[in-house]
Amino acid sequence: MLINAFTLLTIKKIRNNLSFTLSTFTTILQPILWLSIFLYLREEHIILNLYNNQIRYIDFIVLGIFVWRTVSYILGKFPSSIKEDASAMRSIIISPGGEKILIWSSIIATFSIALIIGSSILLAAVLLYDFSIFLNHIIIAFLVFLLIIIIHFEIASIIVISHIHIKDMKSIGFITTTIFGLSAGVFFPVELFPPPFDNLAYVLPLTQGLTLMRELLLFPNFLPNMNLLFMLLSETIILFISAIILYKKNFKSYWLEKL
Amino acid sequence: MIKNIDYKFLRGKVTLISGPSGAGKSTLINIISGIISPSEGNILLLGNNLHSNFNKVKSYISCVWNEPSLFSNMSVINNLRFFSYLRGQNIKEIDIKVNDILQSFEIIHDKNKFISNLSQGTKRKVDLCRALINNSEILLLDEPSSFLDNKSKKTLVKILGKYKEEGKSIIIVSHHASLYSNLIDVVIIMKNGKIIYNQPLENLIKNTKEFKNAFILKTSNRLLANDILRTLPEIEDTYLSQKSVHVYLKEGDGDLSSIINSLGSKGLKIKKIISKEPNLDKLIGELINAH
Repeated sequence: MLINAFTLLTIKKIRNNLSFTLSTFTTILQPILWLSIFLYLREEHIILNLYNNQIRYIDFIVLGIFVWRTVSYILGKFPSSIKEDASAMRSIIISPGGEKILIWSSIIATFSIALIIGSSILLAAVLLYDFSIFLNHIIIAFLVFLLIIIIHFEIASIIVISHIHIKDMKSIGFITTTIFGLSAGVFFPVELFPPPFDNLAYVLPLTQGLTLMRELLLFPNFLPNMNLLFMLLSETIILFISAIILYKKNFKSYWLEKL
Repeated sequence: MIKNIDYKFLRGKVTLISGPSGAGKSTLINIISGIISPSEGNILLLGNNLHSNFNKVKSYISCVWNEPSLFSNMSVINNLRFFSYLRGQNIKEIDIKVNDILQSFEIIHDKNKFISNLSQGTKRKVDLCRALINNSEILLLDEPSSFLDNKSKKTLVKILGKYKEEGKSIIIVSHHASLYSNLIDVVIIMKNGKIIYNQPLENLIKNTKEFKNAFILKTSNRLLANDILRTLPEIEDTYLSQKSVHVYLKEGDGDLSSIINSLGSKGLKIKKIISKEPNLDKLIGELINAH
């Protein structure tokens, strides 16, 4: 029975998110925007010197944008995916399994759409470029990508449960994703940041994950920094425990304050 | 805010909670439904501690709050299906039950509409369907008749009657007690966060002057009838309404024939004598004012 409730809610969430609104329109337009930037960069042939290796800037940025766009979607959409059901929150709270179904359907629905967005950006890039780089260490790279996604779901959950994300949801989502985008080395290599920001950037899990993915995919002969993988794993566990503790403590009171 | 409430709701009975706005009625419903945790004390539902066994106790309760609690961007039928699935109801029976209850409230034609596109009254009906369809042991209803038309109010009372017959416990918070007068077993009145009155309904009616030796008289001249009645020794009090005279006899002096004769001798025609039905709303209002 719970699986039926879960399916019903998840389909509703995916359908609502894909319904033809202005935001859907801009989501569809985004890959075209990135495509035009890639086209420009291909003509420019910008080369970066990273870890004593030369790589094309286009390879550097496509990977960054693919991961960052997926992450920023999660940070913005997951809280609103839960918030859209605020009107039914009381019934959910007193229904057996209701809260779990709500959280999981929000995760799955957001994950599915994040995948659609990420894939469409990637597809736009693949249409123009040789993306054989994605075949290097693909399994470990995918594991790192999965950890990045899980960590950002956890961050989004903590934002939701800590009462932060409600009053100015769009602004906070925009600020968070911009800060993450700029300071996690999405557009520029972290190594080019002035000190101490070059080291500070590694506080962000997105920086750690993105650096690891780039090392794995762009420098197949280079031994990846296993400390980063260890940090990423530890953060996943710590954030998971924090999210659970906060959820147990705050979930009901959080919704009641809003209702 | 509610304080120092130590009360045992009777299983299988219909309890009405009434009181002025801000008395703590809705807060009490929120506490009993587990939405709010009390700062002190415990709540036991069917022998289970509500807060330490909330997951178990959830399956016993259905609740309607003062605001509908439904997915606004989901259709009526899917809302009802969703909450029935959560309650572990038989999947084959759910659609039959959903259709039946939607038909009872005459909103079957709205079943594919989104909640956000419905009127307040229809939303309230769907919210009631959500709570009633689950056949829960305990039904908590906070102003369930608000936004309902008269026909739907009757349907609601009829369905609640069936619930009562099945031995379910029902707690109704309402300012319109008279609507449920045929169902209510116990009346609780709250004021300033406290229970100020708690009695079975029959006690409330029995102990009140309003329904003892009282009747409504329709005559050819109500003003003259009122003047005559006030001179009679067996009459304690009268008052005039728009079309009739309300008459209260003194305790033990219930000789109706002598009253009729007195009026007849003055040339008045008696059109109708109606025994006074309990007006619960008025009674409760008086009780609140008295405290």
